[in-house]
Amino acid sequence: MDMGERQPAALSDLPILREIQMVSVERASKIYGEAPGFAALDGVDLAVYKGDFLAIVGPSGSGKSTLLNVIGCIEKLSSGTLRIEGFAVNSLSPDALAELRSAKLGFIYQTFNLIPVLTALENVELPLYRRNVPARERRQRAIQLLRDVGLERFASHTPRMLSGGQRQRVAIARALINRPSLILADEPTANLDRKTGLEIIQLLGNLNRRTGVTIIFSTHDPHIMRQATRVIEIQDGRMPAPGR
Amino acid sequence: MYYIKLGIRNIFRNKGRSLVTLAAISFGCMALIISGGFIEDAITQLREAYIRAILGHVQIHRKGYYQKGGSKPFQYMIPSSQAVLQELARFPQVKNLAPRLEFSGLLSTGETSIAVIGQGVDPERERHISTLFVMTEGSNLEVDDEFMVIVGTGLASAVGLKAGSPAVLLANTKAGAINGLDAQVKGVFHTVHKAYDDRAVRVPLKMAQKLLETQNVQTITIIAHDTSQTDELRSALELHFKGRGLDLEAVAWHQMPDADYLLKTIAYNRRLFLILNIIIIISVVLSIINTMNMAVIERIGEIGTFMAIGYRPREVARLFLVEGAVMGLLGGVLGMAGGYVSARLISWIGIPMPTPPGTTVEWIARIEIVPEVFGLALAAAIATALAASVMPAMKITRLEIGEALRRNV
Repeated sequence: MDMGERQPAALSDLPILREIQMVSVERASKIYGEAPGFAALDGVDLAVYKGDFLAIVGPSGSGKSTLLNVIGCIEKLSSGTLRIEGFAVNSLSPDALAELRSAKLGFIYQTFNLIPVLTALENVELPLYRRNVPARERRQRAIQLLRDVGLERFASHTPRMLSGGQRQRVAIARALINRPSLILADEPTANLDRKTGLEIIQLLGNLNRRTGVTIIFSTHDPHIMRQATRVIEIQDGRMPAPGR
Repeated sequence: MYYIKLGIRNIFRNKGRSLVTLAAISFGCMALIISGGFIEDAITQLREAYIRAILGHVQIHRKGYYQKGGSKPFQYMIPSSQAVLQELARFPQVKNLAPRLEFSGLLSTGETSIAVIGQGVDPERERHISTLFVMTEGSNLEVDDEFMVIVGTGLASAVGLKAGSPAVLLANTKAGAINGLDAQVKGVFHTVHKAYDDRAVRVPLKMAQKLLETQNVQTITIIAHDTSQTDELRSALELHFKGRGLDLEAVAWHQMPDADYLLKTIAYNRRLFLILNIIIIISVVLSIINTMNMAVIERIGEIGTFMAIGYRPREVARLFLVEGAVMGLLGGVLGMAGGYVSARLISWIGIPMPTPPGTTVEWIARIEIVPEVFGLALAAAIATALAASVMPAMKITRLEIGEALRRNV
């Protein structure tokens, strides 16, 4: 079921981009616990195209977070296939998956997941430390991103000194620092008031339109889902309609 | 650098827990410094007492003296001329030196006779060699003394001698005859070595030479400026003797048969210190491992975030290991400072110690400041904190990222 309102200016509307499949999930199942276990995902099929600004909606416990974790190579599928940019990632080693996450993916969480002992600037730089990016370049990229999310003057603040909206902006900057091709946001507005939540989702939408980065986010807020270019519904680990 | 910065910040994140951990490491470090300093002081005091009362740092003998000199003492004599002594005194490490003539004989009081080990000494020179030679009764030998003897406490009590007592000293002469000299006990002494005190008699060198009918000595005992110069001095003397074609050998205190008890005591104390070290280190590991574990459990969500953004489990584990090492370094530095202050304070007060086995004197223990022990304590502090971090770090490598992220809620 495709519920999203198409935004004419979305990059994903460009026919050429519609052809490039960023993520492909086929007959994906994720079962927790010992047999028979609990099926958090049950035969899910989903295709995400380059430039998509996709919302996954559904009630709590429907499998939204599990689906995002699977696409983010954080959790392995029990069965089925996951392809990112055409490459099947199911059989990759943990180290290769870590490298893939570091190079291609950005993550945003409802709890922001910032490192409390680091400043906003250092939190944004965090993914680059392990990639041996020179300090000067690391700093320049992080400051530019903080400027992009309107937090340049809060660079030296620790997360404790920032509001929820500001923390999420820092998390967005951190997700972008590796110049990922896909950003996964798990209920990025859930811990924010409606106005701030809307600002955050609009910021993500702008990024999507401006840079072409593919963004998949989960939400159960109708106001938020309306900002997406595509909306996919999930219930009890299944998609009532194919997510294509 | 980034790992160290993050490690330091994480240490100050939970100040209470870090303080407890730092305190455990610091106290462990202090315990190592104090116990090490105590044992080193005991070793130093015992060693110096042996060296400065009996052995000297280096002894010069005719080659083979230790192997055969016991049975044929007169074949291993060396001239005791001033020229020889002056030649040896030119070595920069030499502080004092004195000739000695050793003999075995009998000391008779009229009622009883007892086998003794005699030493003829130059009273003036020997005063600067046997600086830790303690007179418990009467007085030490003087330059002008002719037929005076001083006896060890054990010997004195065995035959009932005291200052002023008459005694007859009997020994074999160079020619093989038995010679005897009347003497008077001038004083009673003790050294650190009970077995020596039970049999030792010291007489003026001239009296010993008269008794044995010789003009020579067997030993020239040398005291260096510092014990650490012993081997350097011995090597220099050996080189000198070889260069001059002299049939002499230089023997360091630790090579002498009389040092056997001392060396075994040193080895025993060092082993004791090693065992103590192991116990202290295990205690510290056990006391901080829980807090290190808590640091991981508290931050599982954060660990999940690190791994989600591409850090490999071993890279995150390294963060915790570095944190442990930084904690160990901080605790070690604090412990070294605390150890130094405590050592100074304890040494200033002094610890009265009972007579150790095999010796005759009570002593005041102090805590020696030993740079090597400080280095060891610092290394142990870091290694201990690292060891306590290994288990939590291994736990990280087994974490499921998704499960870890769920702990962020």
